[in-house]
Amino acid sequence: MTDGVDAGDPKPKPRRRGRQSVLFRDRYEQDLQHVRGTAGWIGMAIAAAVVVALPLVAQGYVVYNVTLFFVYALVALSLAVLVGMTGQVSLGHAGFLAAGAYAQAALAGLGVPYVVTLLAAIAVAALLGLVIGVPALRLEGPYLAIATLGFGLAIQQILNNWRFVGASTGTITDRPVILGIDFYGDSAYYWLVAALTALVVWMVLNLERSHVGRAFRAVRDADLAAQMSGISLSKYKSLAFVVSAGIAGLAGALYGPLIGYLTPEGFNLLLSIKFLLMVVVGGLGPLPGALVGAGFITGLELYISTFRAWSQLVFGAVVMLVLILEPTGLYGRWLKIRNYWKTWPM
Amino acid sequence: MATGLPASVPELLRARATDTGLAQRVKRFGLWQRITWSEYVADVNAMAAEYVALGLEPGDRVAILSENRPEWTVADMATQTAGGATVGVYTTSSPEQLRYYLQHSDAVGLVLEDAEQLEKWLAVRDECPAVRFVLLVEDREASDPAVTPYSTALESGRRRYLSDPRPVDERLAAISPEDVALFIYTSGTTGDPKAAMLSHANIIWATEALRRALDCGPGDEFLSFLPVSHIVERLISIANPIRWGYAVSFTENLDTVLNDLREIRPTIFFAVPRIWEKLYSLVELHMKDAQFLKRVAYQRAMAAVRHARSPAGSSAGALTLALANLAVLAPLRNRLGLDRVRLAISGAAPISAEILAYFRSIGVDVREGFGLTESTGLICLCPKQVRLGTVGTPFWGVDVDIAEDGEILSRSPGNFLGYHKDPQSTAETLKDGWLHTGDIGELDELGHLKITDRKKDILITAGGKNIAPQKIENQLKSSVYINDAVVLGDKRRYLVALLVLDEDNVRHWAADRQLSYSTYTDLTQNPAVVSLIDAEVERVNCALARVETVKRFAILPKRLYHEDGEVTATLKVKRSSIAERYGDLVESLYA
Amino acid sequence: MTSFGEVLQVLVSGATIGSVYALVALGLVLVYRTTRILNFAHGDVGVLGTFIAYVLFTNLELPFGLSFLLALAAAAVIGAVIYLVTVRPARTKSDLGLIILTLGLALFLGGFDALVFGTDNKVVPTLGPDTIVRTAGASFSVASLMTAGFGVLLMLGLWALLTFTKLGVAMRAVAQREDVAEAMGLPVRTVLVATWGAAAVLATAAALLFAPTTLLNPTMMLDPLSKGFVAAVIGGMNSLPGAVVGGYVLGILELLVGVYVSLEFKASFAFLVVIIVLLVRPHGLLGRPDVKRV
Repeated sequence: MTDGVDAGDPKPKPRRRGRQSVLFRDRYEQDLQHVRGTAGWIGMAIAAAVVVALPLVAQGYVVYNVTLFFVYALVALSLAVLVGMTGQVSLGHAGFLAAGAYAQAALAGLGVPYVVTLLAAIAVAALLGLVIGVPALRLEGPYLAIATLGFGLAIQQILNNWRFVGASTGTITDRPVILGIDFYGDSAYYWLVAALTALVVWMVLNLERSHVGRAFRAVRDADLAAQMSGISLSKYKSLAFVVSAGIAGLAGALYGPLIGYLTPEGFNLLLSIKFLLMVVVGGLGPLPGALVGAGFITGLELYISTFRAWSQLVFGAVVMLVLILEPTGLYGRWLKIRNYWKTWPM
Repeated sequence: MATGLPASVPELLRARATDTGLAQRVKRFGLWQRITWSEYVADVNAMAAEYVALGLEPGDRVAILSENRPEWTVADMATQTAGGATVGVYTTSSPEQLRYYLQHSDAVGLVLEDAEQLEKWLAVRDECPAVRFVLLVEDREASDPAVTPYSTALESGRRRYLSDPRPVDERLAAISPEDVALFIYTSGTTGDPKAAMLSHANIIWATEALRRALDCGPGDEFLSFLPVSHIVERLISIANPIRWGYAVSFTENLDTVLNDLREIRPTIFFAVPRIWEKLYSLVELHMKDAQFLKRVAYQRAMAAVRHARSPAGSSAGALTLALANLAVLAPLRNRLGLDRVRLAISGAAPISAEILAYFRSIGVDVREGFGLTESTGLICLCPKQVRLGTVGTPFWGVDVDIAEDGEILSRSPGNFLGYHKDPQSTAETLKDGWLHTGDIGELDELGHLKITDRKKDILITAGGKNIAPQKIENQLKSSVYINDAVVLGDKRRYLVALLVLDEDNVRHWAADRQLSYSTYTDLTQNPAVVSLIDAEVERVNCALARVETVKRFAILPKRLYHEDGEVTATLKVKRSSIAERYGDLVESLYA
Repeated sequence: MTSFGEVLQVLVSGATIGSVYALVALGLVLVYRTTRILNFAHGDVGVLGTFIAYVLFTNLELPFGLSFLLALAAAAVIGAVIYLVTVRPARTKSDLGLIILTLGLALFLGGFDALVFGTDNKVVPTLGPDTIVRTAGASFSVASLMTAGFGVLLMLGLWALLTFTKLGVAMRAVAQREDVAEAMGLPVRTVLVATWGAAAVLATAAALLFAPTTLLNPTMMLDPLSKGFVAAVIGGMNSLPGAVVGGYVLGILELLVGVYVSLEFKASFAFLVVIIVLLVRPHGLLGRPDVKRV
């Protein structure tokens, strides 16, 4: 007789726990979750706590620069939607940023309530996105790149000659007052921007996982096949432009009051290029890549500004190095590292 | 012995009618869908009602031609509930084989999985007039006026059972333990398949014996991927869970087994040697190609295990072993999906000691079992303290004896009723209650059974030496580049081997060396591949007695297929058919 | 009413600046055709070449003509080196990744120029004397005529290279199908190196011709580069004749707008042109669309 077990009624055995190395799916909703497991939620809570507590412990210039990072992150995110998700390139995103910033400033100057100016800024930029997106439908690759580059320069040109918004001398912007609460201080404004950024990140992450996000990616990866599957190219390509421009417009509306003074020169080609650098250096495709890229480029700029004359050279060299060594960008590298340990030891 | 035991598995299943616990999972469209016991029972009742309405009489046979899936289990249990017996047909069967099974078993019903199986039926249906009803599970794929969609039959059965459960309930109540429950075709490595008839009592005994050996129960997880037409898989994934209440998960298809394994992380894992060999070569090859750190970590961990297991093992060695287990082996088991395995069993064919030793060293204690279809799959199983080289001690209720000629005899409540339509074979196999297994073996001083060979496979060389080819074949098969081996040499001066390449691994190996080849046949004839295999054979020869060494070998120029009659459905090589088919090749090895 | 002289004046002046645009566009198209890269470092390569000419001429006091030619030679080497140390080893293979790579390179080169040569404006001499010639009611400087003439000369040179030399034929073959060219045994790497070298020569020539109009500094080529892109896009990114046509058309149209419409509008006019052209012909005037397969 083998290891004698009495053949009575068996008792339930406790399930031995252990890490589940792959996702065990029994509902599709599991694919939609952004945060998974207890560890995920704890990490989330820590991140949120750090973001909220930052102004209480950090110096003013840090708070200011982190706010600037949030604004850049929004623009990078908007580019991630356009370039990363639908594969349409834009070398004129500073134009949308400028549109949002100037719209907000101009309306605020007329005494329009802040929340309305924010919404208007989004609307103006999104409308411009539509204006660009529709002709952009027929363009691809270098043609689209140059056309959007032209758009950015044209916006700058128009602002330069538009007396209502101060032409080349620019216009002053004020921090907002909402429901009697003023956001004049750097810390207060930081919290406002952080909250809005978090909201947009959450919305874009959801967009990515919706049918719209899937259509975007289908358009990017195989436009002809997508079209044959009943995905309207024109609809989704121009929608991507509208969404992207709208987010950039919001970023602009937050950007103006942050820096306090808008000039057309502040929205030059170099800024557009910088945004594109963020998404590509961060890692094109996955959305967190845009945030990583925005953080990296903002930080790098701050850091190398101490190099003075060397700064531009070093900046260019770092960007080239990242692209020469890691085509998937910084976030792509992180994913590879994470995957390496996830698949340990085989 | 039968006193106090339940009468039949269908009756036990009926007892779970109100159980809302998890009975089965099935992967569909990337999701694990859950089936509760009560849903399972409801489907079985409905299908049984439909069978009865379609004219299934007690004692009739229903054949099922499908991969493992919940519908299989429903069709099976419904047949038994309605008083019939189920005939499981391997999905790799040819139309000709299907015809044989249907005619030989006089099946009145047939359940088909999909369009592929439907085609086989359409090819032979004119020759099988006894089949009165045919159901098709994947009815969206194909349809035929002579075939009823499974779902339609189920719905109609549901209505029938709701309006009047009596026809089914009467059949269920009328089941006697001695009634035939299953027809299992012993694919056998020779001759026409024979249908072993197993009774409800046989199966109930088997679940009882399994429980005493495995301590299975609620909370256990089992992944079903080997064909349920095989008796042991049938026991573990259909009868035993019904008896003891654990969950069974069905894979999406055979290509996803490795992934499904990771997701389910079963606590009971049953596999044939071929699968264990595959897992072993998968890990070995993967680690050979792994990045530096992973490769080194794995090598060091394996070295630590070897050191700790060797007589020179010290307390420092034990510490290293613990570290290796924590840092490398535990994650490795997790990546394989074997980290929760409490019971890893190998059966259906002999497994090489090297493979067993390998899995022991990574912390998965594989216990080898021995049994025959004719003994309801169970005779012996290794206890927790595995004695390498033996198949362990007898199951509860089994008596094992060795005949004078060395043949293993077994007597147990699991001994079958007999072969269908073949009293002569039955009489030869079952004498005075003793089952003649056809295997040669011995019992050691602790009562562990050791199997040396199949009775009819023993070779006697021209030099008069008795040689057990399986042992040599298993050692050859433990090479990652050799999938199958047939060692021949009866009445010859020396032994030769016919080898089948492990296609994946050899292709991989060839790609690494940038060897060019066009077809599989071309690959087998590549000089570099031949010399690779030569080296592997030499390595095996080193560990063998001189008369046992393989002097010459040939690589078969094709893959082996069940359809071609070269392997059984459980992928066991049919020696005689290979020897016959490649006679010229064998002659050339003696030239 | 405009006189014939005025028209002639505009045409010649437009052709002068147009030849600069055309040279820039030619370099861009040359690179784009073979490597699918929009080379944003193109302008900065030209600026670097011009700085070299400037140093040769001012600090080493070589004759200007010689400095000019030596700078072109140096540019060929620089272009080849850039290809070999950045583009070729880059693991980034996506179009966008390579664009960003050249943007990084542009920043690097600009930073390098500023660091080594300073950001102050430097005067670069013209190719010929500043003598004014008057004919048919129009007046031009000899220098600008020579600029236009030299531009034409270079374009003819490029055409001859591509048409009559083995290297040129190989360049065209690689531009059409790199993989097939490689399979046919063409030295693709050498061809690509030569292409980048030739493009750098064109960039430097354009910058040297343009420098006297503005003044030499690290950001001097920003405007001609964007106009060069516009010219290339108007002509079609994969058409060399298109680049030439685009360059001259843009130069002349721009001048017409400056003279007859508004000076302020002149800068953004180019992009209006590009958008209009692309709306009508999404692949430029002479460009051909790539055939796409699902």
